Amino acid sequence: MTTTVTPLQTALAAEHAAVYVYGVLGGRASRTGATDLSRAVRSAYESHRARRDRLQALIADAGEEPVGPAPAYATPRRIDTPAGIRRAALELERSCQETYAWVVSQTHDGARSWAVDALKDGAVRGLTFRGTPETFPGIRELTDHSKGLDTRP
Amino acid sequence: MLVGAVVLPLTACDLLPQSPPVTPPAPTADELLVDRVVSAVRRARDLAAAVPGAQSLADVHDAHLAALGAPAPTGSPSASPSGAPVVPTPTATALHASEVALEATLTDAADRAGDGALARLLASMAASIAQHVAVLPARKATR
Repeated sequence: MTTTVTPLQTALAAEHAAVYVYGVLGGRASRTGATDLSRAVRSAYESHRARRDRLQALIADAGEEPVGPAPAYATPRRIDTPAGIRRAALELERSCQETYAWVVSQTHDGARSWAVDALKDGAVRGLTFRGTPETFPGIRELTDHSKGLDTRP
Repeated sequence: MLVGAVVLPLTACDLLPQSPPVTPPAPTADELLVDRVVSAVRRARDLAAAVPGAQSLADVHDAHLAALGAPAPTGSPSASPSGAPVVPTPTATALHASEVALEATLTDAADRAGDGALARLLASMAASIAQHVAVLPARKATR
């Protein structure tokens, strides 16, 4: 069971960070007056919070103590503009996608299915901040294989 | 000399005791899985290549095939020989249905893969197709 729980603990740590950072981004977004962006950030915040809660339950159900949030997280820089907030949100989504892609490789059965779903969910959500699809979401080292299809900002 | 060189090995083979036929090892479950996925991606790729304005999606399928070690054949797969009936151009709706089906196939394959690295790749491909489905015009039209 531990072999499955350990990757989930890593995912949970990533979700704690995402919830924190989206909280910060939400406050900044509301100050910009960009209502669409505020709505997107809030939606992403709620999605990550739901993932965090589900991970906590999965880990507890497996008989282990879910990891808690860190005392503090690095806040993204240059998030005073809508463009900066979008960039930070996109980077956060990519980080979570890479985590879930890794979790997929480390798990089996139900935990893997859940991670695959989380990866797909995050990839589609990332479109809100990116606008165009990618060829290999969650696998940074394969971006070169896309032959210029990806236009990462 | 040349004749002797050819005949001698044949003769030698005939003299060898009967050895069991060399058979290739049976494909692993993951190899069979990849074969199925490659077939599904190629079908989706061919359809996307035939839909006007969907070449970029066909290019994504080509990149996925390359990552699976099965590069797409060059040339138009839908090209028909002279005199053959003309195949109607697939519609955007057909493209949407094809991509949705492919996403399901990739998701299922990611769940089933025995090798973790293969599962990761298949999951990423499924996520990519999910993104593309989300921005396809047919999906927007049905909202």
